Order: sequence, then C-alpha cells, then structure tokens
Amino acid sequence: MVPRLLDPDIEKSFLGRSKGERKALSGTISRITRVLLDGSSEDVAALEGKLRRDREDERRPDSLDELEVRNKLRVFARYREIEERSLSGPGLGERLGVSRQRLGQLRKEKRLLGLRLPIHREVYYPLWQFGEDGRPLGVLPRLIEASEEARMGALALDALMTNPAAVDAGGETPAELLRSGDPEAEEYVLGLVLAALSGGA
Amino acid sequence: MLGSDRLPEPPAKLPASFELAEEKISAWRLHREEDPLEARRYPTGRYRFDAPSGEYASLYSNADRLAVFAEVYGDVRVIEAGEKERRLSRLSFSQENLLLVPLDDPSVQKRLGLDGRIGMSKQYPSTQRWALHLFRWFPAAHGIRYLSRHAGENRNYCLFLERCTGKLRVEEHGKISALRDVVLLAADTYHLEVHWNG
Repeated sequence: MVPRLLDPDIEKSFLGRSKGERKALSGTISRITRVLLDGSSEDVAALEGKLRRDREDERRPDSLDELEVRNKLRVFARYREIEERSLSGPGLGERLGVSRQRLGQLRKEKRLLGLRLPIHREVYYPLWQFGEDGRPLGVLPRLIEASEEARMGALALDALMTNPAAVDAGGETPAELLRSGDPEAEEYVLGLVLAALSGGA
Repeated sequence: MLGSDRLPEPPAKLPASFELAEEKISAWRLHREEDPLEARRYPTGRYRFDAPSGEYASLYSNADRLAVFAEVYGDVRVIEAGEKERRLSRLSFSQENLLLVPLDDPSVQKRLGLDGRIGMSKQYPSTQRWALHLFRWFPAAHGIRYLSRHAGENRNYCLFLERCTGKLRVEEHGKISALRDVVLLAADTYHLEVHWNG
C-alpha cells in the first residue's frame, strides 16, 4: 500500500490534472527537494528569490501560503548557512581535546555559544567565536550575558554577530571587531547586542 | 576602530535655530510590556536617543505597521520563538499636533553640524549626548523624528515620554503570535525570517 503523503484534497487535485501537468509538477517538486537536500545556503536563497520574482511578475497580492513557503526557505537557508560556517560538537570536541559533556559544561558557563538546528542531533558551534589560537574568545561570557539581558536567543546572537550591516562603516562584522581584541571594539559590540531587538537601535 | 567616521560631539549651545516640525503622528510600536506606554528608563542610556543618565524616559515607534518589524529585527534578521509574546500597538496623538526635532531633515542636520549618520551610526554614547542636548535646547519638543535604518523613507519617532503624558492614544492589536499574516508580510518585505510555526 502506498503511504499517503499529501492532504487528501491536494492529492485529489493533483490526480485530477492532466498527465503533462502532473509530470511538470513532479519535476518541480523533485528539483526543489534536491536543492533542500543537497544545495548550499546560496542555492536555497536563490530558490526563494526565484519564487519571489515569479510572484512579482504575476502582479497580484501574496497568499498566506506563498508567504509561508518563502519564509520557510529563508529559515532553511539560515540553518544551512550556520552548518557551513560552524563546527559540529564532535568536530569541536576533537579540536579542543574535550568530551561532549565538557562542551555542554562550557555552554552552561557561557564560555561557548552552541546552536541547535532542527533535524540535527549535534550542537553546532559557529567559528567566529574562536580566536586565532583556536580557543573560544575570552569575551564570550560577557557577550552571551548581554544577549540574555536583551532577551536575544542564540540564533539571533549568531545572526547579529555575522551581519556586517549591523556596524558603522568599515565592512567588518561584529564578530570580526571582537576578534580584533580592541577593548573599545568590545564595548561597542556589547552595546550593539544590548540595543538590538529594541526598535531604538 | 571608527577613525574619521566618528560622530561630532554636541556643542554647549544650539549652533543654529530651526523650527520644530508639527505632525499628527500615527505610529506603530512592538513592545514586550503589557502597557505600550510603559516607560523605558535605564541608569545609563541603552538605545539610540535614550537619556545618557536617565534624565528622561523614551519610547520608540515607527510610522509604518510593517517597517516597525524591520526596525526591531533588522539587525538580527531572525524572529525567534521567544518573540511571539511581543505585542503590536498603534500610537496616535489625541488632539494637537506633536512637536518634533526633525533629524530626518538634511537641512536641520546641517544646521546642527551633523549628517545622516545621527540616525544610522551605532555610536550610542554620542547619539545619546545629542538627544539630551536636543531635549534641553527644545523644551517644547515631544520627541525626535529620524529616518528608519532598515525601512527606507519610513520615519522613526523617539518620544520624550513625560512630555507626552495624557496626550497619547493607544490602539492595541495583540500579541504577534496571533498576527501571523502581518508578521509574515513584514518578514517577506524586509527579508526577515520567522522561526516559529503558526
């Protein structure tokens, strides 16, 4: 027996289409699935952009479903991008020569920032939080505390730290400013974190 | 770090006079507090035009219902599940017009020896010192109007709350968890990501 994957109404509507239409739809679904499974974050973002352009060409308001789909693609691109620029728990444990439990302890002590991504069992550790010696930056406890004070989750903190548009001219990301070790830069970045999510930033 | 991009410090006296802008505002606010008019006051300033040492309370809002999401989430780009409890409210001035320091006006910026960075730069200690000087130079001003960093021509307002007492009307639109269509539309418009399901 074939398992039912679609909502009965959607399945009925699909089966009611011509063979040619069904073939075209199946091909589209297959291509989208391939991008989601094997594509880079840029591929996923490009797919979102394509859907957006196609809709704009049609010059009609978006349906809620269309907004949901494009949002899911942006979210998915974010997760993929984090994977691309992070070490997984086992990878970091090996690099630092510490156990999984120790990594958990370091996270609890706010000396490491770990991100949990849907579907993945491991915790991901963005590379920006490590200095040139490969050790976590000493400012991390203050940074994570500031983010908690601003009621900012780990995902938002990571996104802020990697966003060059969040700082004054210079083209650096907040994380790069932190890695410079300049105390003035550290205070500046902590100020950014405290002010983010306020509407008064 | 900032080099020549550093903002100038405010002078002791108002460098050149100019008229305050009169506006009947209608502005949107995303807030965590139940009361949209709850004052924000910290021992030391935290946000752009906050008082440096708690000299006044400030309230931030944006003229556009979608742009207010860009202003709050534009730097992080993600709207996490922890944000679902935020509330959306609309503020309006009940009778007379509001008097505002029009920092969105390039000619006013020039008169003050400033430029567009006053609304864009993250040099908060400087922006806060400017705000305090403006607050003192213009006792009649209800707040500061400035351009949105993330949403083009839409205007932001930093209101000096004590000067608006009894003059603001509030229309509450509820928690954003119940406004998914608005949140998704804002996210789509300003390239944000909503990390919770409806």
